[in-house]
Amino acid sequence: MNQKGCRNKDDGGFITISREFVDLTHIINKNIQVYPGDPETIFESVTNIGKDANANITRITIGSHTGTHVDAHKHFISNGIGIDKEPPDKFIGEAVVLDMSNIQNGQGITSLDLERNTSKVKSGDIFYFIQVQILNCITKM
Amino acid sequence: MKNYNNNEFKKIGSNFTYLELSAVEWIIDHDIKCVGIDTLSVESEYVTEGAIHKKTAIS
Repeated sequence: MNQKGCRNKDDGGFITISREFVDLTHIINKNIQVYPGDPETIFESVTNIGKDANANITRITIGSHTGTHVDAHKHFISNGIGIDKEPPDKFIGEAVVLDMSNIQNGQGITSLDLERNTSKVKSGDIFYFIQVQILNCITKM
Repeated sequence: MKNYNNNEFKKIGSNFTYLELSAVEWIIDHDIKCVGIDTLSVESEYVTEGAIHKKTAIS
């Protein structure tokens, strides 16, 4: 465990973040990757200072699953609840970061990949699966 | 607060890592509260019926 209370990735590929907040959100811009078939992200200038208005206004077109997001029940269950009905505390808690960088792109994570972490997981934890992207951020903490 | 922003998201593209059904069942069995993943979806692009989404949503 390092000085900030995080287990290193060398510790069985298991990292716990308990004493520091990390913003995991992706930057949303016109080039952000979207799920195949989802709407592309568009930024359109509506008014411009000094040109046609005294304020800058931008219209943003975005899919509800672009960038960092939460899937609501309603996403795949027709009578499921929307994200506005989910209590915020559902998304707050101790996070367990699982390093899945050993899994090749296009391959699935199986129960066998999780089994080695059984002794380190407790009821009510939040899982965050990572591949290569966040490792640098986590290990520098 | 540390900020995690990157340009790697785009590079992974649609050939991303996802959860197999056995992993979801393991997560449910261990009473995991919430699951996040840094790829485009928890479910393979080549599965259209949404079994992984549904199972994680109703658990």
